Amino acid sequence: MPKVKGNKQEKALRVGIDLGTSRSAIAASNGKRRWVQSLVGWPKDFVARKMLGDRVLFGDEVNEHRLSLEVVRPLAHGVIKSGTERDEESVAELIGHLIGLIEPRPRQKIYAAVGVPAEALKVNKQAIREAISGYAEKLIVVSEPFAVAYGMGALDNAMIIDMGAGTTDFCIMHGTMPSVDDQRSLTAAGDYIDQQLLGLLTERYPDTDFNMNIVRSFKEKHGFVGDTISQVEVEARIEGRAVVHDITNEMRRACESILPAIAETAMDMIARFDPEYQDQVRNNIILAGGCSQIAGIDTYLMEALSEMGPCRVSVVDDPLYAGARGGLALARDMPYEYWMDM
Amino acid sequence: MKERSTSSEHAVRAAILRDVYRDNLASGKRLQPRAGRRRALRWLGFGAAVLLSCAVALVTVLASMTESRVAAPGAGNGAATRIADTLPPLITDARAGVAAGPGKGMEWSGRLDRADDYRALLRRQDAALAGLFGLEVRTIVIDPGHGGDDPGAIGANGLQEKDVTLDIARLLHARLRDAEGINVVLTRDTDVTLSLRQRVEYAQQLGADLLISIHLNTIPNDPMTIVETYYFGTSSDTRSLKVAGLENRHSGYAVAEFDRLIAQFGDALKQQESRKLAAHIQRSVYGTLRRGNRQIIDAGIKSAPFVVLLGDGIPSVLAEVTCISNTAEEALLATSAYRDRIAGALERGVLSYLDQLREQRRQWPEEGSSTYAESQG
Ligand SMILES: Nc1ncnc2c1ncn2[C@@H]1O[C@H](COP(=O)(O)OP(=O)(O)OP(=O)(O)O)[C@@H](O)[C@H]1O
Ligand SMILES: [Mg+2]
Ligand SMILES: [Zn+2]
Repeated sequence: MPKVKGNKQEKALRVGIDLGTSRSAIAASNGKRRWVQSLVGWPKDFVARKMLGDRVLFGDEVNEHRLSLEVVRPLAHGVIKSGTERDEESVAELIGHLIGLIEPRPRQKIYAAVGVPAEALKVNKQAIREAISGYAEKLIVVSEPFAVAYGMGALDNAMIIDMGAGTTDFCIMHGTMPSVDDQRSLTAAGDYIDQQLLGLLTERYPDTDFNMNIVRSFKEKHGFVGDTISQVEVEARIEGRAVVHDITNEMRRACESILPAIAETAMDMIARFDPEYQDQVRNNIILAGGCSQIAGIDTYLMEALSEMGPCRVSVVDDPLYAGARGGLALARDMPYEYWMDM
Repeated sequence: MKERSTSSEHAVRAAILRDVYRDNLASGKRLQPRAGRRRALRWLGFGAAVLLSCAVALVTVLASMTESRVAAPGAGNGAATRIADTLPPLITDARAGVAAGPGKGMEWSGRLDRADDYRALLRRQDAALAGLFGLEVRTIVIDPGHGGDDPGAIGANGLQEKDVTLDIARLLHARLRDAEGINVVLTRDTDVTLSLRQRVEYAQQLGADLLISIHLNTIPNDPMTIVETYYFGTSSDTRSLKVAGLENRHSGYAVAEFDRLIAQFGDALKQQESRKLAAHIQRSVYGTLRRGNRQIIDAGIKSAPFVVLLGDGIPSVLAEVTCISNTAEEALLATSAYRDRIAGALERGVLSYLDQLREQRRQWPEEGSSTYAESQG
């Protein structure tokens, strides 16, 4: 392979993108990073187009104009829903939007490493590649937990548990790129907690109107497991009147509801690992994703897993960007010759 | 091995980048898969994949198993051949086990005779399988490692693993014999040669409910002493089942799938119970030995497809109770008091496991109508 002049490769902007069910993030080699809710809104009809202009909307804007839009959450359930062109288009639009947000110079080439939910990789990697290909010169697609692992330098004898909205993704690292067997995906994740919490609160306070968005914001503010927090009170409205509800037990139960399945899966995956290294993996468990911010979740899992022996569980510093940063690290480290072949 | 040098980390990184590159090249050329078909294939291929990976895991892991770490001259080879000899029939056994559903030792409680109940069960993320299936322990087989021509590991002062394991097993047998409602049997009560296969078959013939194989570890050139417990593990995919349970929450399983799932549950049950038993034993043995020796290390529980643990549907564990390679431990193991302490620790491990099993069974009926079941409608 002929060597190419150094400065030529400098010009391409390297980006890492984390495509999530609920949030998508981008980090670029120009130092910029941004995130948006993974919501894409298409103007429904002639009137909407007239009002909003003939364009696609993203993130918060979608919520504002919900009524005039066909709203797509393109990676709901971690997968581009099969056969729906809208989903593929929406992924493409979302990527284009994210790349726009980090402001590349005009005509600057983009080399992107995109992390997608492990389950999506299994099912329709090609669809994802096609959706993205219009926006990047060069492209690699990897599973999201792998991107997190790479970014953290957890390359060998480590386990990443990426607790997102639609899915919790597991990935065991053993010095190679994880195979399908090294990865698992559970639907025990943030959305599941929200459903549980909504159910529990509606049961306890039948007069109060809760909805998914409200309970999600409760969870994001006050989510906890074990006895990290002694009391959670929230303000709600009953017929216009402000009331304070104690939701401590409901919050704990809802947040803990996903953990038995997660602990079981982790134990099962560790158990399948080369016995010689099982204790090393057990001592190198890393939690990522939005739900890793639930208070006490690392301690809870550590206790659950200690059934197998001593173990250590840590939480990534920067859950929102861990995936995108990992993608960027991959995009940066990927040798130029490799990029050229893609 | 503790610290990894930066140059080898660099090498790992380079290898991973190459993997990523190759993987992306390959997938770039692949035809677009039809998602619907993929899903169906995943379901159909599930059983076959479990069996296949089971066989592969068995072959690969067997090669690097503890038994080949045995320090005794000549013992390593002997053990390896015996393991290899037993391979093909045991894999067939595993297949039969999957096809035939829950193995011996499990009783149908009669609670799971409707598909609805079964679905409710699958939704319970914390479903404790043995409790649900009404597993009742009646026969415990204790297997003293090695024997006869195979001395196992030999300490620096000549103490042989096979003698120690036999005595501990006899002491454990004597202790458990009086426990309520259980029947305890030894695979060998003298210094005889038994192949691993013979041990497994013996346990099967007895309709054993638990199998505990007792061994001593050796760590060459290292004075460290560790306690570790292995349990039977294959690629029996408990988790896929759970994922399946979650994914299918709304649609529900077709009744036709019921039998197949029950069969897989049998396998999951075995692995889960083996793990629990291993955890109880590990905690008890480590806790006991640590009281006399602060240096001892808790290496935890691990799974490996040891042939001796491959009993059909029998929760099985292999306890490496301490290290004969440590000369202080060797001296202790030569005393009957120390061997009895270990037997006592094993006994407490088994009893506490049985205890929590009973506890689970007591709790289940009340919990049957959990919020999981209700909220999914
Ligand atoms: N501070 C917080 N405390 C608790 N939960 C939080 C917090 N912040 C975000 N979450 C939850 O984390 C989830 C989103 O996490 P993340 O952004 O990692 O998901 P995602 O990558 O979009 O989803 P997926 O990985 O399933 O595709 C949501 O359920 C959200 O409510
Ligand atoms: Mg995510
Ligand atoms: Zn041995």
